[in-house]
Amino acid sequence: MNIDDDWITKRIDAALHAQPVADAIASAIKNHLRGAMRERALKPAELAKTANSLLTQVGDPPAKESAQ
Amino acid sequence: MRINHVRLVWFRGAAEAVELTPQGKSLAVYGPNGSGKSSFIDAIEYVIGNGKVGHLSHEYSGRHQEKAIPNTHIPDGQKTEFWIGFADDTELHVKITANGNHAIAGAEAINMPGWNYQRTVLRQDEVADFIRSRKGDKYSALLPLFGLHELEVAAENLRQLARSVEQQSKLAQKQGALQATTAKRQAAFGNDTNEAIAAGIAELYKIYCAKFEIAEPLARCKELEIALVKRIADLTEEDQRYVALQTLANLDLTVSVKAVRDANAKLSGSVEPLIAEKLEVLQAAGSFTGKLTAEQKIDCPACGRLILAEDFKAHVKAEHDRLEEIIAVYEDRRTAIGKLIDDVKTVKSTLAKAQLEKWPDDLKAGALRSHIEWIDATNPEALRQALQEEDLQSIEKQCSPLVKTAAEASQTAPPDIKDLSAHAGLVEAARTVFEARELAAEISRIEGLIAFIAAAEGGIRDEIRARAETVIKDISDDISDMWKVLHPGAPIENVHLYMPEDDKAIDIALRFHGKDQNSPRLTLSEGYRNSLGLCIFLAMAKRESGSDRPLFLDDVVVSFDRNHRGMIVDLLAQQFSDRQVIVFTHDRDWFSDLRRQLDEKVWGFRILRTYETPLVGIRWADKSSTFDEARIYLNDRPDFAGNDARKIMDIELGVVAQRLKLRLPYLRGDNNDKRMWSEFLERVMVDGKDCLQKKTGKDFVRHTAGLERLDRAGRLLVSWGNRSSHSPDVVRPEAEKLIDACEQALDVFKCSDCSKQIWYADTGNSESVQCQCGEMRWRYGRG
Repeated sequence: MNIDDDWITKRIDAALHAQPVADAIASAIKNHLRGAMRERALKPAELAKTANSLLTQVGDPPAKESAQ
Repeated sequence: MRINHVRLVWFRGAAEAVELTPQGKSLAVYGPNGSGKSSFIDAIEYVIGNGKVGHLSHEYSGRHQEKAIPNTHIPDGQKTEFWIGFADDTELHVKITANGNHAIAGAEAINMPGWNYQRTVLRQDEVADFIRSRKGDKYSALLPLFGLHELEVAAENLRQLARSVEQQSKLAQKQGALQATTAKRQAAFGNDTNEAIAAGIAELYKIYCAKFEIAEPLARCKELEIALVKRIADLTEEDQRYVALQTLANLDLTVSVKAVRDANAKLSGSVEPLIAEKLEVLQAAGSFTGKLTAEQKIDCPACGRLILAEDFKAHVKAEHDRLEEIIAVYEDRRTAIGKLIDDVKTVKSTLAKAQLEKWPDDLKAGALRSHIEWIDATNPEALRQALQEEDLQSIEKQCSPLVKTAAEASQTAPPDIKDLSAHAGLVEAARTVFEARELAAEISRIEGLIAFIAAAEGGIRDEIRARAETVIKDISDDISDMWKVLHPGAPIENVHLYMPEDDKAIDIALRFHGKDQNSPRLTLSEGYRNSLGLCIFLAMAKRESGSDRPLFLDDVVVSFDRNHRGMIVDLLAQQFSDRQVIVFTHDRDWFSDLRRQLDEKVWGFRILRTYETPLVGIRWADKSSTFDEARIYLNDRPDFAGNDARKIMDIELGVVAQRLKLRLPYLRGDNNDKRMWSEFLERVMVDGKDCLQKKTGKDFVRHTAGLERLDRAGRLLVSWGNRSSHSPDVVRPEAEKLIDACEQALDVFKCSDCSKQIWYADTGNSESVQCQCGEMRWRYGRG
């Protein structure tokens, strides 16, 4: 099963529907799913870096569900 | 892509070049224990596993398995290497250096390193391990085979990311701080709303702040605090004394002490040593994992199974995360202790204030002397480091009366002073409330982020489940079909995989004598469990049949009884006729079955000789019959060779008797399975006069020549038995004659025209069986 762009967009839009977050956060997760996140277990340092990056954006206004 | 050959040089048990040559066909290889069968499978695994062989991953094999992969006696100047040739005439070449590093070249289009090991190789211990494993382990083992590994990796990464967000944001501490604020708010304002508190602050703001310019409640609180400090500073000494007493009176030491006790109760005695012990283990494990490479495999210190170092690291981290939760309880306790110690410090510092200069002296003269002395002598910071229950009791005993006395003394304060002190307390509490709104909003945003990541993970897991259930349904149908072939008529039915309600789990269900069972471990014997494991892996392998990759089975029938070993031959013939299957076995009986029943156009048969020394290495027998193994001993131990031939006849004639449905007297207990060649041969000879027939012209007549060959073998076997039991000095010609006669006797049941066994085909009337061309037949029940 390949995780393609359409699939990622559909999944993230569904997650946004359940819990709105900032546009930048949704985009960041999409980008991660296109990369290493689907290929291998991320190392703790990578997870921490991603988490901190997302936390800097939690105060931003929520994204629209259809945002790419 | 089918395999033509595997050539090993100083790899594992191999010395000079030894070659497995299926030439694109399926192949059954018989070899006694230790003959080097697994060396060929190790080579396959070495390529797929990127230079690692699972069963060699242990503390003694070296970082790159350099102590286990090369032949132990490899001469200086020789190299460890192997080649795998494919049906398209490409060849993969693997060179292994002395330090275990390796280089793979050739056959790039085949991409053998990208093959899935579990869909290519099945070893006996892996079957047993799989059935024994927990449902979560089965899920981990099977999911990659379902093609859903990418989804699982993504879902697991999201789960870990959510945890990391929680840790990095210090969410637990923030929630703890908010909780403490809530408790403080409850004490100061009861159930008042924020609006009511803000209205109260607005009233105070009118009283103490003449300008009345600020509207925002938090800013008002801050300005009010400055105004109140200034107002108190302007008071008379007497009034300041009252304010100080009021500060003491406002302390609620009982609540503070209780909070510490409650936190202590959570960390009851059994938890603390456990955490200390676990942390110690985890620190050691963490240090250990730091030295492992990601792809390295290790024996898990907890379960003993061979696992990837990366999986072990993840497990250690998960355990550490669990402890983090307990650590959060520690944090609560620390906070409660901090509040109590701050209260004690307030008591001490307030008593030392200039405004209360004489009051402690007055108290010292009275009943509270010891209390004042205790607070003078106490170092609150020292208590913070090691607060024991006896300290809590001392604080209650020594400080509480002081606070109570201060409260009584402050009763005589003028009303406006009382108000001033109370207002200061309210403003401070209100400031905390409004500051907490910011904190609550931040917590909400963090929780929202975590919920979003969890929703993304949940969506992926839903999809994994949906897809896995579809795949599981298909595989279960195959498993069920294979089970029926292996166990026709057995009271174990409806064997299928299923996903339990909890996530990340797959298990096997079945109906046992009409009762549904959620696990084969509840009822099935070891043999049946292994049979089930074999069905599952063959079902998985079958899903890749389109790829035409070979399937390697290494001693997978060890725990099967004779009947079910025979059924596996049927299974291979029925379900894998279009797939290249390489079977290795040390079971001579089963090898005989394979050789007799499988189509020689599709299958080849080879025998490995007994391993002698590492410098001689793995060697093939010259011919493919099991008698060749007996012939190996002819030079050195002719008595061994002859006895081996006799053992072969015990087995082979037993198979013949079973196939020809010979009627033998019933024997009590397991004696039925311990019959000797003589019983079988006697029956074959008697029945054969009427049942064993060969075509002459258009008619079937008694196969006299065949009966004579059987008779000759029988006589020599009797003679051998007498001779060897009375004299150990047997000579090679005698043993050779016996082996030849036995081999010729068994050949009686194989047609010289079509090379098929006499039981190859049913004639359709259930009265006889015949070879493929119909030149030979055996008539049932004529004897």
